[in-house]
Amino acid sequence: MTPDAPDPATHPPAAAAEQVPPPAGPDGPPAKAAEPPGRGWQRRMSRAGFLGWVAAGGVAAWGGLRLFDLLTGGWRINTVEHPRPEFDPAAYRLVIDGLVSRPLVLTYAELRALPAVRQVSDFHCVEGWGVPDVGWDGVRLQTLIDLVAPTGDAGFVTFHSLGGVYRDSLTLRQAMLPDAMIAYDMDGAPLIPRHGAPLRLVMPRMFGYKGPKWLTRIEFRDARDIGYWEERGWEIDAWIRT
Amino acid sequence: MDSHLSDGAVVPPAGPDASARVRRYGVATRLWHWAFAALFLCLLATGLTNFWPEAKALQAGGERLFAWTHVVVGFAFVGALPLLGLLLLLRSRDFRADLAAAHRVRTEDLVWVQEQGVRLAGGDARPPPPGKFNGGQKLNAWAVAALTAGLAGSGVVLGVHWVDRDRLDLGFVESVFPWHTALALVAAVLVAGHVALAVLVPGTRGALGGMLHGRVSAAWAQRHHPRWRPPDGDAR
Repeated sequence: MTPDAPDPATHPPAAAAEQVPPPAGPDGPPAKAAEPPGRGWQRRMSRAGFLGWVAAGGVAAWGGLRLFDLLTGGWRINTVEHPRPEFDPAAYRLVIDGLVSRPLVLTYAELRALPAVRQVSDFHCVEGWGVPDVGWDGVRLQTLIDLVAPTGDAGFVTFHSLGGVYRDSLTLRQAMLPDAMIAYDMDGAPLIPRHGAPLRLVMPRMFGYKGPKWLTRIEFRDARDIGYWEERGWEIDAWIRT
Repeated sequence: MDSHLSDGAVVPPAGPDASARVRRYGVATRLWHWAFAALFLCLLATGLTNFWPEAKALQAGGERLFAWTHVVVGFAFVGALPLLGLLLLLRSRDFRADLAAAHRVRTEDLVWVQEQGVRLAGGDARPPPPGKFNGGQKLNAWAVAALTAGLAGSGVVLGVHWVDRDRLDLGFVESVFPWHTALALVAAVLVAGHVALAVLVPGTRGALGGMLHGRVSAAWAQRHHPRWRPPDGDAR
């Protein structure tokens, strides 16, 4: 930048109050164009300085993405239960009934006292996002099946959500798979409300919509219940194939 | 009419041409801007419902309203908009000139951005006088181009997965998803700033008329774009 003051008409000073009217001649304002930029401007910002600004912008964007990830853990929340079902530890019961020899009603404490398993698996939403290496603590469905002893007619299992809107189902054979479980802890801590407190179904090799949150009832049936999204055209057996 | 005065400066009437208007954008440029803006805003709004579970769950005819709209408009965005752009490029010299000028970044444009930043921070700086587009507008043009490329590319991956979830590798799709989200959030900030400058900020909203009806006041043009020469004899 040159030390002498530039022509105010072509190089307006910073303060608006000092602004002089545009040099409108008889030919109209646009007729008098400013002189082209001189070499002085080029010295004011070096190439390295500009690249520095670009790099700072990139780092800021990347940091924002990391912060977003940190706040959400990579999860997007999908629910059709409004308002979100409330979990009251004193009032909560898990009901396991239907075509079983020994129906069962468990309090939250009794649920947590059942033989527990831990599973680390990737969560996949049908929308195209996923969360890798989610740690689930809970109870294998096989454990519950052994406890309630389904009758010979029972070929299907329906899972009901606390809000009464969402449900989904598995075949009994699918429910007996070793990685099919109900989970009360996620990554070492009790499920938080938006992740389905106190209990959700985890079926890691199917898309996430097969795992109802806010789980309150497990019903053994002789016919298949069509799940909430499956009534709207989604696949019943949501195996992940790719 | 007096938008060029509204940044608080006391500007005496500049002779007989104080209320003169000059032509800033032709029909093609405005058509492109508003077609692009309408689809982009629709995509942004429907996409941002990802952060609002109650809205995201809204359904129409058994489909999730906003997810479905997002996918359909998204395919229109990547399918139809390039055709419109191509048509306008072929048919309109003004559109070609505007597009080129908005993306032609020179050193003085970068200096303009830096000096304007110093000036907004209260420092003493003198941004070099811009031509038809100042450095901020040019950076915006490039940011929009880059964000659009990234959003369209990642969006096509997610859209194809939406239509047929067995077609693409799930790990690939899931690696693309966060980038689509991040770019959309950056775009939301950029669009909010763009709209605020166009509608709310007194010093810059004089530009809005140019994109609405094609004309701005000659005094505004001289003040904000001193090195721009509007087309002669067209002050309709």
